[in-house]
Formats: sequence, structure tokens, C-alpha cells
Amino acid sequence: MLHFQLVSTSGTKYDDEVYEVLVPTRAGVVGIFEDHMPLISAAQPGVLSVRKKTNDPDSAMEHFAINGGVVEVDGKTVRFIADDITTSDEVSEQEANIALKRAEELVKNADSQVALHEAHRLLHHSSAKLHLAQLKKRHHR
Amino acid sequence: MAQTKIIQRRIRSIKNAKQITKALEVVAASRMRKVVEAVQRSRTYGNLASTIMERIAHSQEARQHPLFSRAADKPTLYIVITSDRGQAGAFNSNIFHLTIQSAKTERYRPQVVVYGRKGARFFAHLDGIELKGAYEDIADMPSVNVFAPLIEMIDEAMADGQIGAVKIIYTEFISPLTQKVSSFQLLPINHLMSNNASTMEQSAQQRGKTVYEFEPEIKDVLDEAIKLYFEAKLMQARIESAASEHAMRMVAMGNANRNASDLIDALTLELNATRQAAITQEIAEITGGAEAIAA
Repeated sequence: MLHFQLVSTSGTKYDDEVYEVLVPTRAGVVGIFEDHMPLISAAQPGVLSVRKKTNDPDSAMEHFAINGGVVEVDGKTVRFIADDITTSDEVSEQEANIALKRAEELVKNADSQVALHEAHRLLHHSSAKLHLAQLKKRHHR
Repeated sequence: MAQTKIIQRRIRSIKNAKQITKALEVVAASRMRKVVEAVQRSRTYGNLASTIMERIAHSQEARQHPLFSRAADKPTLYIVITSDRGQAGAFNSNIFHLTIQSAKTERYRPQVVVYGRKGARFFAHLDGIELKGAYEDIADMPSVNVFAPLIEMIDEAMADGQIGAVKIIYTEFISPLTQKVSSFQLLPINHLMSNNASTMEQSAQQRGKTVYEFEPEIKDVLDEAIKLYFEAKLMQARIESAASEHAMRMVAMGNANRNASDLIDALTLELNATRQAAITQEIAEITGGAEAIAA
């Protein structure tokens, strides 16, 4: 088992033993199990997933929308910090949709390279939130 | 009678002032309670960011990074966190005092970025420092975006070699009755390694075995990690300062409120005495007059 700590500026979102953590990094999604090689990586805006027990099906996984962040793995512990982490309880599909539309607007109207970069990041973040909301809906069906 | 009128007027004005201090005290207390919860959260985040940063700082790649090396022979940038409003006891003057003390030890003219209106006014008139920026009306628990311009500025100034170190001067919240003015070295990050020798050796041994892999590239990871680290530390400093500000205001206003009550008590006694004196005087005059007629 792995110890997983997920902390954002608004507090600890997750702090418990888990079987597997799926982290979206810039080099693709990384699945982390016990005794993973020591790793420090920059995360990509997306959905981070946690499997608590070995036999849990995908539908029992817990998901979080993240806007980036840094993950540190030392084989026994996974630490993840990001300034904005959304749990599936906090997300609403409607709001995520609106945010996504707004981000798309921003990408279209970006007038500088920096603004475009920011807008893209926002776009990824809101689509991650939307994804999270849809995952949640699927479970409740 | 003129005397009693004056005393009555003074009592009334002190009563008004007392109402204001009472209101400020109650407001400060409730705001402090809210912020204190956030202090705990920001500490958790800040500590975790420090832990990760410490791990990174030990890697070979990080040692070559300019932000981790020894402080260059360059001016220091001070980030000073003050309040927008006064009536908080010695909150701002403690901060100013420490800033001036630290600035005196600098070899170069230090640069200052200040948060809070009180600080902005103070440093605008201060000689011997270079005011780089002043931000006002920052929320108690701001969003991380508030610090984006500052972080960008630090990145640029470090890259251009304008500054060699960055320190945050803020008020640490210990308890509602105790707060401490502190100075935290944000850059260079090597202080983490020399912070305390005994735990250092232990952890260095553990870390000797752990060689971290960086993915996708050390530069990307470092950029992201440093940004988060800055945000975490600035956020923590801001929230701790806000909690301290409210705590100090609460105590200061509580004292003012008590002083006002004491004054009212003393003045009420004086008022009664003067009124009684006036009455006695009047009776004495009447009886004196009656006796004169009778005689």
C-alpha cells in the first residue's frame, strides 16, 4: 500500500493509504503503485484518480480535477501539491460547462503568447472539471 | 452648572468612542476566527511544499540552478506584509522596525515590495530603500493569483541578476495573544539544507539512497515546483499576518474599551460630586438668605 497526500491551498483533500494513484503529467498519465521509483514530476491540468484497494473496479475510484502541480514519489509515499484541486463533491457539470465556454473564448481572443498559454491552461483545467463531473454522473446512475 | 455640562459632554463622547471600539473588537474577533482555520490549512500546504522543495534541492541538477545556489553579492528584495487599516496596536510598527533593522545590515540598498496601505505609505517616505511595488486591499485569504505579478517580478530580477536574495517579513500567528514578527528567506533555497544540523544528517543519510528521477525534464519540474513553493510561502505569510492583525486589533480594541469604561466611571463620579456641590451651594445660599431676612 502507498500513502497518498493531496494538498491544495484550501487544505488537505486526501490523506490515506491507497493502492494506486493515476497522475496526469506532462509526459502522459503515470500510474503509481508501491515501490515506484523515486520520482518528482510536474503535473498537467487533468483528472487525478485514486484506487483505494487492490480489487476496486474503475467505478469505485476517486477522482480529482487538478490545474497542474507537483508530485513527489519516494516508493512509500506520494505527495501531491497544486494550488487548485477540485473534488468530485465540489464540481457541477453546469458550472464546468460554462467555465469551459469561457476558456474557449479566452483562447480565441488571446492577444499575446502569455495570455494564450494561460488560456490554454484554463481550458485544460475546465475540461478536466467537466470530465470529473461526467465521471461523477456515471457513478450515480 | 456649567461644570456639570462639560463633564456630561465628555462622558457622552467617550461613550460614543466606546461603542466604536466595542464594534471593532467584535468584528476583529469574528474575522480572526475565520482566518485562524485558514492558517492551519496554509501551514499544511506550506510544509508539504517545503518538503518537496527540500527533496529537489538535494538533487545534483538543482545545485546548478541559480535559485538554489549561494546568495549572490547583490541587493536583497524584501517582501513586507502590513495591514490596510490601523487600530491594531503595534502590528505595523513592529513590522517596520524589523524591516529597518534588517535593511541596516545590508551592504546594498535593499529593494522592497510591500503589501498593505499602511506599509505603502510608510515606505514611500523612507530613505535608504528602493520601493519596487506596493499592493493595497489584499484579502485576508487571497487567491494565489494575487501574487502572480510579484512572482513574475522575482523571476525576472533573479534572471537579470538584479537581486541576490528574497526575504519575506511578516507576522507569525502563534496564538490570539502572541504574535511574532518573523523574517523568512524565500531565496536562495539552500537555507533548507543548513537549517538544523542534526536532523539534516539523518535525512541526508536517508536521501543518500534516494535518487529522484525528474519527469519530463528537470527544468519543467523545477519551474512548476518553484512557482508552487513561492505561492505556498507567500500565501502562508499573508494568512498568518491577517490572523495576527485581527488578533492584535481585537486585543488593542479590548484594552481601549476597558479604558473607556474606566474613564466613564471616573467622570461619572466627578459629575455626581460637582452636581452635589452645586446643590449644597444652592441650599446654603437659600438658608443664608432666609436667615439674613429673619435677622
